[in-house]
Parts: sequence; C-alpha cells; structure tokens
Amino acid sequence: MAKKVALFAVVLMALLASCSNVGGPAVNLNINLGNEPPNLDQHTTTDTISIQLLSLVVEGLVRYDDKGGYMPGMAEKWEVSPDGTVYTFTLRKGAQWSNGEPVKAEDFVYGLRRALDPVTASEYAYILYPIKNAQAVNEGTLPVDQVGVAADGNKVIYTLERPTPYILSILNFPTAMPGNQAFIEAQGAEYASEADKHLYNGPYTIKEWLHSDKIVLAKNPKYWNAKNIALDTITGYMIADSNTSITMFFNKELDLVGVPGTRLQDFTDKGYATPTYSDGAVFYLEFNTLDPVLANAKIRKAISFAVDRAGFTRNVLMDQSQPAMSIVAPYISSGAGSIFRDVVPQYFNDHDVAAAKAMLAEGMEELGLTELPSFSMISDDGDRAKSMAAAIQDMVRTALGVEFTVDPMPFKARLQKMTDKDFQIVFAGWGPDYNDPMTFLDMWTTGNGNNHTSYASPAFDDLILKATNETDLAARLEILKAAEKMLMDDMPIAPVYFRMRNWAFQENISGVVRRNVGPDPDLYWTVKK
Amino acid sequence: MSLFSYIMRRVLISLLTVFVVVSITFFLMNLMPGDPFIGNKAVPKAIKDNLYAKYGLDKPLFERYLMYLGNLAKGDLGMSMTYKNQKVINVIKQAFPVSADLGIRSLIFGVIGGLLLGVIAALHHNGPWDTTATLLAIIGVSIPGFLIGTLVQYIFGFLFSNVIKDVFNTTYQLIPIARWEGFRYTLLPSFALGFSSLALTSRMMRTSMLDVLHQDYIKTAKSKGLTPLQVTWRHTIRNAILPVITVLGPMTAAIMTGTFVIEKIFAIPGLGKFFVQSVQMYDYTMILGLTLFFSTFLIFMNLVVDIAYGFIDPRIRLAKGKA
Repeated sequence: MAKKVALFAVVLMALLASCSNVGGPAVNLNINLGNEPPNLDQHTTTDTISIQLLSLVVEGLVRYDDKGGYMPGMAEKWEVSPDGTVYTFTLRKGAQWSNGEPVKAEDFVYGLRRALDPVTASEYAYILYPIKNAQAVNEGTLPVDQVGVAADGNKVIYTLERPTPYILSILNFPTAMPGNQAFIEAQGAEYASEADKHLYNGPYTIKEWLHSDKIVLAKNPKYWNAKNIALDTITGYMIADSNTSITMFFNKELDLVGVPGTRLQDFTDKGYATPTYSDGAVFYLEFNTLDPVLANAKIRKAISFAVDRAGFTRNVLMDQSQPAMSIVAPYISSGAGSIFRDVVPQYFNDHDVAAAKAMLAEGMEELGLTELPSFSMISDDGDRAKSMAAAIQDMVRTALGVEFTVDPMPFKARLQKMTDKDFQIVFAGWGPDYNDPMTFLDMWTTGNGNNHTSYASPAFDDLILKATNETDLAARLEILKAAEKMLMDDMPIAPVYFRMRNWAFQENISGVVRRNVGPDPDLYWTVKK
Repeated sequence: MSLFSYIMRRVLISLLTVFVVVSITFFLMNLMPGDPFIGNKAVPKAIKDNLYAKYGLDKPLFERYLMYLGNLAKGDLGMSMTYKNQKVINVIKQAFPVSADLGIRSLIFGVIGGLLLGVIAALHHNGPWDTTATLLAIIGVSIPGFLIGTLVQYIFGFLFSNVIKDVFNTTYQLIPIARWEGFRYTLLPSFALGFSSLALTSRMMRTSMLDVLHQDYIKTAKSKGLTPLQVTWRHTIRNAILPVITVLGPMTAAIMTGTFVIEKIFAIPGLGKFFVQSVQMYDYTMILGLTLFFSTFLIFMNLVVDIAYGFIDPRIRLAKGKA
C-alpha cells in the first residue's frame, strides 16, 4: 500500500522544458477551491485555501520543488553558517512587485516584523519562533526591530535561536513572506481584501476576484521563471458542494477534483484514475489523563488496542486511509535525509483484543477497581463525525465489554471542552505545519496548548528539549524516535488513522504536485495540453 | 390618523424591535461556549491575547456592547472575524443582491405558480386537476431542497444538456450545472428554491378558496347572474388571497436573504452561507450584522404586507384599526 503512494504524487511529469505556450490560444486551468479564501494577507493567514493561492501569487525566498526539496524563489542562492544558526540569502536581481517596485531585502525584514508585531495579531506567528527574539517580540517584551533578521544590500540575513533543520520549510510559510511596507500600510485593515488591494511577486497575479464565486489568476510576465510557467490563467471556483463539483468535473468544467471515498466507484466506472495521496493528517483519540480512571496508562492502552483500525478505514472511511499505530505521519522527513516512517516501525498490533483485555484487567487491578469502568467520548456533530464516533464506540464496547457513550456537539463547543479539559475521551486530529517529526511530537510536552490530555512527562519533555538543541541530525533522529516510542508507551493518545485522499484529473492535465506539507495542490508545474 | 403617521409609528416600533433583537443576539452569542479564535490548532497565550486586543474581546462584555452600539450608530458593522480583511457591510452588499435576484425569480415562479395551481385545484375540487395539484404540493413540501436541487442539476444540467450537445454537436452548455453568470444559470436554482414556496402557496390558496367558495355571498354572486370568471376573480380570489398575503411577507424576507442549501448546491455567491458559517465559526461581527440586516428586512416586508392588505381588502383600514 505504502509504495503505491509516492511522497509527492507527481502526476505524469511532462516535458517541462518546452511547455511555454507561445502564440497558441490562452490556456486556462479550472479548479475548485471549495470556498472563498478567508484571508489572503500572507502574514496573518491560517487556512489551506489561502495558503494554496498565496503560493501562486506571493513568493518567499525559497519554494518547495516538485521532488520534496527546495528550489530558489526570490533568493538566488543561500548560505548557512557552520554552526547552523545564520542563514544568508542573496536576492535575485530584477525581481519586481506587480506595481513595478523592486523586491528588496527590506521587504523581507518588514514582512517578518509585521508578522511578529503584537498589533498584527497573527495566529501563526509562533511558527517563526525559531528565529532569534521572535517569541519575545511577539509577546511584546522586545521591540520589533530586535527580531533576528537584517537587510544588507541585496542580502537577507536570518539569525536563529538555535540550529533548526526545518527552517527552510518555515521560511516558505506565508507568515514569513515579504511585504511592501508602503503598499500594505496604504491599504490599512482592508489589505488583501480585493484583487487590487494586494501586491504580487509570484508566478501569477490575481486578475479578478468575485467573492464566494471565483478568483482568476493570470500569469505574471514579470516573474523570474515565467518562461517555465505553462498556464496563462487559473480559474478557481468556490463550489462548496462536493456532488456539484464532481458533476462539473464529469462535464469537463473542472480539470481537477477531490474524490470522497463514497464516490470512488463512480470515477472508476467512468474510466478515471483516482490517485491516492497523503495530506499529512493523523487522527487519534485523546485521553484526559486527569480523569481518575484514564490516568492509568494500561486502561488507555486497553482502549487503544481494542480499536479495529483496518476495519475503521475500510468500512467507515471507505477510502485509502491507513491504520495508525504511531503518531508521526507517513512521508514526513526524518530530518536526517530519510522518511521517518520508513526507518521507524509502528509500535503495536492493530485490533489486539487479547492484549486489550489483559491491559484492562491489569489496569483495573492497579486502580483497585472491581467493576468495569465506563467511558464517554465527545465528538463533532456532523454526520460523518458521528458515524466515526459510533464505530469507535462499538469497537471498544464489543472488545472490552465496557460502557462507552458518545456525546456529539458543535465544533467550537468541542474545542472549548478540550481547552477546559472537560472531557474523558475526544476524537481529534492534527495536520503538520512543517516537514519534520517535531510537528507531531512537541505538542505533547507539559502544558502545551495543543496537549489536551494534560499528559505531563518530564522524561518526554526532556527528550523534546534535547532534540531541539541537538545539532547532529543522526543523533537528533534517535532522540525523536525515543520520544515517539515513549509517547506510545504512555499512550495519552491512541492513534487511529493517517488520512489519505483521492483525487482525479482530466487526461490532458499533467504536472500537478500533491503534498502533505505546504501548499496543496501545487500548480507551479502544471501543464494543460 | 393618516397612512403617513401610521407608517411613521410602525417605523419607530420597528427600530425599537431591531434594537432589542440585536441586543439579545449580542448577549446570547457571547453565552455560547467557545470563541472565534479557538481552532483546531491552539495558539500560545500571548498570541491569543494579541488577537483579543485587536478585536476588543479583552474588554468587559458590557463595554463591548456599548462599543458595538456606538459603532452601529456610525453605520459601522465592523470587520468579519472569519474573512479577516472583509468589512461585514461589504459582504452583505456583495452577497445580498445575488440572493435577492435568485429569491425574486423563485418567488415569481413559486407564488404565481402556486396561486394558479391552488385556484385551479379548488375550482376543480376532487377532480384530476385537484389531485395533480395536491400531489405536487405534497412532493414540494416533503422533498427537501437539497434533493430537488441535486436531482434537477443531474437531470437537466448534466444528462439533458449532454444530449443537446450530442444532437447539435456543440460544446454549448444549455443549462449549466451550477454557478451564477446569466439567465441560463438562474433556471435550475430558481426552480429548486421556488418549488417549496409553490407547494406551500398552492396548498394555502386551495384551502382558502374552498372555504370562500362555500360562503353565502358566492351563492349570491352566482344567483345575481355574474359569469363564473367574475365570481372567481372579484369575489373568490380577492377574499381567498388574504391568508396567502400574510405568509408572503416572512416568506419573501426568508427567500430573498439567501438560503444555505440551494446556494451551496448551485455554488451561488449569495448571503445564505454566511448565516450558517458565521454561527459555526463564532464570527461575532458577522452574526450581529446579519441579524440586524435580516430583522430589518423582515420587519420591512411585514410592513409592506400590512399596507398591501388595505389595497386588497377595503374592509381593513390600517389607520383606524390596530397594527
């Protein structure tokens, strides 16, 4: 199964060199964004639709290439200091904003300061914290000009708190992208709210933006790599209903479409391939370790072992999602030149009812319980979320014979209960922010806002701190392995599945890159014949 | 009291009503567990504080209420908290005309069609026309909009249009599947949205007609020697239509301000989704802006209906009676 899915599902990477469309009719690609992009301000955006669009219209120093590495963007080249804490980027000559102004090193300094300024209130500012003083600036204890970035002629110099192997992944995030100070300040609060209230330096510009309807991107002739950009325009429709978008795809009004598990057969019947890719997300049960019964690791393991993950993906999700017996998603880099999941095996057997029963008995003995405990789980109240919760409920009940109730509630109410630690078990998920195992591990440290389990292990915290400070990448990988193993030994969370998605494309389309971290789908190399 | 002063009094009462509605919404909304900036990914406390400060959520509830009213008095509905750089007023300005356009089309179809159907059904009581109309009404009331929408989309937008393409050997899409770009695009959503109003209107009209048809004055009119058309038009319909007019106010307000399901299925950039999304996402400013807009519109439509009574039925004299 794993081998079927390439890390980056590069589809039919075609003859890129000769794809420039000179003289022929304009080539337009029709895609479905699914919704209005909520926020195209690069420094404050958080959602996947905006991030996908921004990757096509605003460019940072580097960008993801089509093979899982990085390629030059606004920077022509870069150097790393021997200790790994100073990155010097040399900007390419002639790069321009869409209003004709040059892209200067100062634009990167301004962008970073704006993103970290407490007044901007950027939700993703914390992703920049590896940069020196970034956290202090964002918390308002240091002035913004103290952040570790400087402009020197056509060079941008970043100073980091400590060596950070995934720093390019972070500098590629919209929050770290440049901004033209004069333009942004002139737009005020409505910056990035309309096509003409934004500046572009990427492969495309926004030509037309009809809110909640469609957005039209036009190839940017001033872009440095314009000769290798094959599409003249990209039209992104905002169709929220997946049945509608699928009917439009069958009618050839869309060139790409997402395929839910329940519709896979329709595509096969019509002769379309439906490639699978990982979006990097992992879903798991979080146990509240402050609960008197769930404080016991063996009880938590009993529930985890009772879950039939293979059955869950096959019968409930009905797609290619993979059973998860570990927390770092497949296809995530190890940080040391390999794929983490390829070098680190998973930890326990799926649906091990015997082990689950044994764990329950041992746990009850440790707690001095004579009667079977009962559990309750909170979940979202959508149809799909409810059926997923019901499946977990049924599996645990059947395997352990315990009472297990489900309490569905609206999204925000569930999040509030998680924040307040007012739950026993919750079904939740996580998508990676950057391509490194750390994005799945450091959230389980003591007191982390995303650690709703209240899991507090000084030994685990120590491993994460060690990994953060370790400069030898091979040694760092060993520490990360140990951290993930400890997490699975203590099991404050029970991984359930790694999400896999399916999509389809018209036969004249090639060069669409799907990723689990970063803008997805990436249309930089896309060709339409 | 003249019609003018009647309207003035109604406007004053309406303003008070809107104020009360917005105030209650403001406090109820803040009672909901959770807040706009709680998401799948928790942000560090410092960042949450920054966000709270930016949107004024760090201030006490009552102070925020007064600030909101102050801004409202200046005509400022604030910035959306979900669509972060969009003004709420701009969202309404862009999306409402689309919803209103679709709404008017489907109302014309639904109300006129429904009235006709109701009248015909009543005049042919227990006949085949009546059965047909009743059947249509039952279908319209019991089949939800998303099903009708998806069904007509597939049948006309996909199957039928593809037959046309084959027959005429063209790529012209006769009836588009979705989106909102011109007359062709309005056909399916107007039908899907208007169908339930058609069902409701025809049922009400039929019942009301049957009721009137058994009144003594109809017998009188007939025995006076009036033609059936005169009896139906001047005596029956005019009396029977009043209950329909009553529901027309709220119905118009509800349909013209956008519907979530039909707009979603046909990818129409209307106001409907914002009503649902803003509540799901705790977009406080958007919730309040839409509440204000919708309640004002609803009250206005009811006022229009009240005035329309006076023209349709001379026995109703607004100026003297109670509102």
